[in-house]
Amino acid sequence: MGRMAFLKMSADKQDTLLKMLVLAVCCILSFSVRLFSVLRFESVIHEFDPYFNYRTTRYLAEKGFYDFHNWFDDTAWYPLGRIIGGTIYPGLMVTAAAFYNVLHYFNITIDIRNMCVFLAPMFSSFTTIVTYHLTKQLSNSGAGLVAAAFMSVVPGYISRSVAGSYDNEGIAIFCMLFTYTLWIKSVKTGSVFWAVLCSVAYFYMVSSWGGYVFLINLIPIHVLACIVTGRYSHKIYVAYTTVYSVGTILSMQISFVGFQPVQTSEHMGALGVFGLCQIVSFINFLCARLSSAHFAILWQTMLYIVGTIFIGAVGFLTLSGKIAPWTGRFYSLLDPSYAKNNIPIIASVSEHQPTTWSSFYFDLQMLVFMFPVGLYVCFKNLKDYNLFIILYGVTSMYFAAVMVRLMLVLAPVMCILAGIGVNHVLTTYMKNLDSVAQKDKKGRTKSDNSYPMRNEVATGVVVMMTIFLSLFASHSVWVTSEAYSSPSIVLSARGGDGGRIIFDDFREAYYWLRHNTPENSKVMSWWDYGYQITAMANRTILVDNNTWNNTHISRVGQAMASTEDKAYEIMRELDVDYVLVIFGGLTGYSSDDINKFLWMVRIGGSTDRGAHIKESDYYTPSGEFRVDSEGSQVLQNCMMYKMCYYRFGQVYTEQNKPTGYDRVRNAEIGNKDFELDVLDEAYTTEHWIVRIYKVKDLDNRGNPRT
Amino acid sequence: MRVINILSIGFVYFVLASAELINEDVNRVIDLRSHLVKVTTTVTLRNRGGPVSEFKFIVDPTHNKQLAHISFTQADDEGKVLKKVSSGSDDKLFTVSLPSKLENDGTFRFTAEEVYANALSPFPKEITQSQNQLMVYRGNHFYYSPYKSDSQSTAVELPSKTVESFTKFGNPEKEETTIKYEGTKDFDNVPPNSQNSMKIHFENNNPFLTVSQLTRVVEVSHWGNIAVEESIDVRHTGAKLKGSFSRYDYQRMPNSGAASVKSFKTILPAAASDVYYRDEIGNISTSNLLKTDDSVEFEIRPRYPLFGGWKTFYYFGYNLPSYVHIFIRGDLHALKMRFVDHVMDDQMIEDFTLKIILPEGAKNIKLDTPYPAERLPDQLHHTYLDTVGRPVIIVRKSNLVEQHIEDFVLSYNFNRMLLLQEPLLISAAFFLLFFTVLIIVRLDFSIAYDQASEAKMRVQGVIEQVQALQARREKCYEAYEAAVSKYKASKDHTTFVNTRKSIEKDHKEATNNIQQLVMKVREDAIDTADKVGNLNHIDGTLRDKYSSMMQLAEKLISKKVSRDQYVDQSGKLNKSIDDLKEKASETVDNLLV
Repeated sequence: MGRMAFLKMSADKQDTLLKMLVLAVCCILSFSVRLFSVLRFESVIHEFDPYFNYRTTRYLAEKGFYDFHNWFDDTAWYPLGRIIGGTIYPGLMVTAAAFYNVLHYFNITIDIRNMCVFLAPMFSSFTTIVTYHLTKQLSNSGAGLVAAAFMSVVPGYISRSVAGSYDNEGIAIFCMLFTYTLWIKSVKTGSVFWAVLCSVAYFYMVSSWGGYVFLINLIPIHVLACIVTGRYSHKIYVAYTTVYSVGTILSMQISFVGFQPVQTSEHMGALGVFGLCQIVSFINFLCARLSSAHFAILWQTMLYIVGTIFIGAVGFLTLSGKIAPWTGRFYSLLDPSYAKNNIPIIASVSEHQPTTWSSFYFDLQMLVFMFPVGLYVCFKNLKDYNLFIILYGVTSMYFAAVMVRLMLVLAPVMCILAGIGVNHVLTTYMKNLDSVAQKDKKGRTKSDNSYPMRNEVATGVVVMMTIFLSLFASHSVWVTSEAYSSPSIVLSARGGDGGRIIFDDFREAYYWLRHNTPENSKVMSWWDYGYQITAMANRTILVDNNTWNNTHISRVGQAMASTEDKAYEIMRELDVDYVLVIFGGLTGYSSDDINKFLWMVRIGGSTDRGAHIKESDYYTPSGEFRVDSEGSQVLQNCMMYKMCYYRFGQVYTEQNKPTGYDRVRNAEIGNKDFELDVLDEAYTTEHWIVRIYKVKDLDNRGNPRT
Repeated sequence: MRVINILSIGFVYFVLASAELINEDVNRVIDLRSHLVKVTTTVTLRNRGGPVSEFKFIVDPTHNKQLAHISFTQADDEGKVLKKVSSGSDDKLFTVSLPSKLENDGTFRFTAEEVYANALSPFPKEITQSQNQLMVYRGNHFYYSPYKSDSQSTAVELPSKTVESFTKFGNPEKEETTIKYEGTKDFDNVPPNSQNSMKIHFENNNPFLTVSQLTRVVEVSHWGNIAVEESIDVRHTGAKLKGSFSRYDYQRMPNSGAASVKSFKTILPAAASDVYYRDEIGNISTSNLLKTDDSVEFEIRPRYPLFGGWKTFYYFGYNLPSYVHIFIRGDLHALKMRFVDHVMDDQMIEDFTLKIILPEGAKNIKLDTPYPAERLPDQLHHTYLDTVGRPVIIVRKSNLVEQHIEDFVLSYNFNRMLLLQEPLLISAAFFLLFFTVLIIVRLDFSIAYDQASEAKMRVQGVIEQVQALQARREKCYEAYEAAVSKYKASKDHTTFVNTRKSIEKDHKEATNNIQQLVMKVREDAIDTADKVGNLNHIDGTLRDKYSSMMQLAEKLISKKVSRDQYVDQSGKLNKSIDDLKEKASETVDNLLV
C-alpha cells in the first residue's frame, strides 16, 4: 500500500509530532534571535546591572554557596561596604552557577562568562515552552502554539533577555509564567499536589526577582474576583490556602525578603484574601446548616464586628510601624507622579519613566490589536481560570503604562491573549475554506444561501492574518537587531566610508584602572558606572547601581556639583583617589554625565548637607540648561563641568565650528581656558568618552590645594 | 660574597696563565639601540704556550647579573657554534672548547654574543609626557678577559644623535650615532681583567617593554589541530610617567609621549589561523593581522598606550595544523615546536612557562628542550569528552630573549584507536538519552491502574490488528480478480478451482481472526466492535459478489452464457464490487476516529 510512513502514524501521533516540531522551532528561534549582539560584537555582558550579576556569579562559582551567602563586599559603597548575600535575589546567580557546575562535572569546560551570556536566551526557550502549556491550560493547544510562537519573538521580552543581558528578568519571566501555569493547574484540579508545586515555583520566582510582588497580589485578586462573581469553590480554597501558606513560608527563606511577606503593605492583600477565604468558607458552611433568617442576623453582626476589628488592627499596626509603609517604587506604581515629586533617585532611572504610546506599538506591534480579541474570546467562554488571564492582562496593562520597565510583565500576557485571539479567528474562518469544508457526494461544496461568498471571506481573513503574522515576525526581528542588541559597553557607529567604527572606550578606561592604579584606590563616579567599575576595573567605588543609600549618593552628587575647593573637601572626606566621568562631547555620545548632571544636582540637593545646592542656580535666568557662554556661572565652575571640559576648549570637533564645540549639546562651551587645581588628568580614552582624574594629595604643608 | 668572587676569579686567572693565551685583536660592538644591551665581541686568540683545546671567557663583572644570553661562534668558518660549559658559581665563567687543538703560535678567531637585559637605567627616573627618555649605560672601556690583550677597539651604537654625555677615556670619536673608543695607546697592551668604567647618557625612545610573565599553552589534538594560547603580562620599564597624561597633547602634539608604546608586532607561524586577541574583560578590537608568505604578522595594540611604569595583560591564541608539527612512526609521536615564540622585537621574558597538553592516553612522554629548563610536575587537564584527563607537561624558564626562539621535541606513545573514544562517548550519551526517554514514554510507572487508558490502548492494538487483517483480505480480493482473468485466458479449470480454494481458505482465516478480535474488543469499546462488524458485513457481501463472478466466469467458459450476457452481468458485478471496496476502506480509515 502506497501510504507514506508519516501517514501511517495515527492522528494522535501526528498531532504530537507536529506540536513538538512547532515548539522545537519556537525554542530554537527564541534562542537564536537573541544572539545578534554576540554575532555583531562578541560574547560580552551588557549594560550595568548584569555586570554585578556576573561578578557575583563568578564569586559563587569559585567560592561556593556558603561564602557567597556570607559575602561582605568591601569594594562597593566605600566606606560602608555591602552585604551581598542579604541584599540580592540569588536565584539568577544560583541558577547560572548550578548549570556551570553540572556542566563542569561532565567535563564540559564552558567559561562562566559564556554561561552568563547565554543564560537569558536559554531561559527564553524555556519560557516559550511554558507559555505553550499555560495557554493550553487556558484555551487549547492551537492557541498555545500561536502564543509560544509570539512569545519567542515578542520584542517586549527580547529587550530584557538578549544574549549578554544577564539580569534577573531573564529568568524571572520564566518563573512567573511557570508559577501561573501551576496555579491554573491547581485551580482546575483543586489538588494539593499541584498547589505545592505552584508554591515551589513561586519560591523560585521570589528568589529571582523583586517583581514577585506582582504575582503575590495577582493570585489573591483572582481569588477575590472568583469570590465576588460567585465562582468560589473548594478547589479554589484548597489551591489558594496551600499556595499562600507554603509559598509565604518558602519565600521568607530568602534572606533579602525576610519577614516582608508578613509585615509590609504590599503583601497584606494576599494575607487579607487568605483570611477572607476562611471566612467565606465558614459562611458557606453556616449557610448550609442554618435557616436563612438566622443566618441573616448572624451575618450582619459578624460583618460589623469583624470590619471594625480589622480596620482598627491595620490602623494600629501601621501607626505603630509594625507594617512597613509602602516603598517608593510601589507608590510610583499607583501614582505615576509620586516618584518625580518625592524621590529623585527613583525618577532619575529612565526605565522608571511612564511608557509612551509609541513604545507599546514598538514592543508589541500587532499584539496590541489582537489582545482585545483574546480578551473577548475569554469573556465569551468565561471560566475560573480564564478570569485569571483577564485579570493578569488588565492589571499588567496598567502597570506597564506606569513604568517602562514593566512592559516586560505585560509582554507574556499580550502573547497569550493574542495567541488565543488569533487561534480563535483562524479556526473560525479556516473551517469555511473550500478545501476544508465538508464535500457532498458529488464532490462539490455545499453552498449556503444565508452566507454568500463564504469561501472568499474566509480566504480573505486567513490571508490577512498571515500577512499580519509575518509582519509581526519581521518587525520583531528588526526591532531586536536595531534596538535591543547593543551591548552598550561597546558602541559602534557608521564611519564616513560606510565602515563600522567601534568605540571601546569604556573597557579601555576600566582596563587602565585595573592595571595601572594601586589596588586599594577608591574611584568616585556617578552611580551608573559603579557595577561596571567593580566588575571590570576591580577597584573600590563609592556608589553603585544598588542605590540603597540616598545620602551617600547625594554626597557624590554634591561633590560633582560643587566648586573645586568644596569638592576637594568632600573628596578628602570620602577618601577618593580617582574620579571618573563620562563625556560625549567629542563623539556625540548623548548619555554622558553632563546630560545626567541635573539629576546629580537634584539628588545632591535633596539632603541636608547639600542644602546649598539649588537646581535653579544651574539654569540660565530664563530657565535653560546651557553649557555655552550664556549658561549659568555656577554650572561653568562646578567640578563636573571642569572635569568634562578640561582642555576640550582647544579641540576642533567639527568643521566650520569654533574650538570646544560640544557635539551632544551643539554648543561652543562657555568656559574654555581653565586649569584644575586639585586634580590631575590621569587618563582619557581615545575618543574622550571616559576621563579619569587623580585627586592630588595635600601639599607638603598639609594645606589644601586651592 | 664579593670577596670570594674576586678571590675565585683571581684563582682562575692564576691557573689559566700557564696556558699563555693572549687576545691579539679585540673588536667590540656595544649595541644600545634597543632596551637590551647587545655586545658582540670578535676576538683573535693567539697561543703563546703549549697546545690548548679550550679557552675561558668571563662575563664582565659590571653587569654580569643582567646577562640573558651568551653564545660563541667561530668567526671564520660560517659561524659554527662553539660548545660552552659554564664553570663559574653563577654562570658567569665559561669554558669554551675549540674545534681543534690550538698549537703554539696558532691563532683562532671567535665571536662572543652577549645580551643583557635591564642594563640600561633611565635618568631622570621620571619624565613628563612631553619629555624624551634618557638612559644611562654603565660599562667597561676594556674587553674584560682573563688574557692580556694586544689591541682593542670598541664601538658603541646609539639609537639617536642626541647624547647628553659620555666618558672621554682614550679620546673617543663620535660620528652620527656611533661612539668609537679605539686607536689610542690606552687600548694597547691591556693587562688581564682590566676595568675602567664607561658611562654613556643618551636618548632612547625605543620601546622599553618587558614581558613579566608569559604562559604558553600548546594543546595537541590528534584530530588535526594544535591550539596555541599565550597569556602575557607586559610592562613598560623605561622612565616612569610623571604628572598627568593628557590625551589632547598625545593626539595633537607630534612629539608627545615619544617614549610610550602604542603597538608592537608579534610574528606568528605562517600556518596560524583563527587568531584571537583578548583580555580579562573581553575582546580587544584594536589589532591588525597581515598574512605574508612565510609568517603572519600580528599587530598588537593594547587598549591604552603604555607609558613608563604602566602595564597590561592580554592573551592571544591561534590554531596550527598538526601535520606541520607532529611526526608519527607507528604509535610513536614526536611534537616539534618552538619552545618560546616571537612576542615582539627585542623581547625579554622574565618568567616563562610552557604547558603542553597531550591527548588523553599519551604515554612514555619524553621532553627534549634546546637549553636547560626546569620541568615541573605533570598535571592532568580535564575538558570536553575527557574521562581520565589529559597529561600536561609543564616547563619553566626565566630570562628569555630572542635568541632563545628554538624548537623543543616532545615524544610520546599514543594508540590511535583511542581517537575513537570521543565519537563513541557521544554516541553512548545520545543512546542513553534516547533510551531513557523510550523507557519513560513506553513504560507505565503509575501506581494506580487506569482502566480507561488501558482499555483505550487495548482497542488501539486491536484496531491495528484489524487493519492488518483487512489488508490481507484486500489482497484476497485482488487474487480473486487475478484468478478470474487468468482462468479466462487459459481456460484451465482444475488450476482455477485449486487457486480459488486456496484463496478462499486464506480469506476465511483472516475473517475468523477478525471475528475473534471483535469478541475481544466488544468489552472495551462497543462502537469499535460495531464498526468492525459492519466491515465484516461488507466483506461478506464482497465475497458473495466474487463467488458469483467466478461462477459467471465458469459459465462463460463452459458456454452456458453468451459473451454479451457475461459482459453485461460482470459489468454490474464489478461496479458493486468497486463500491463495496471503497466503503470497506472508508470504514477501516474511520476505525480510529
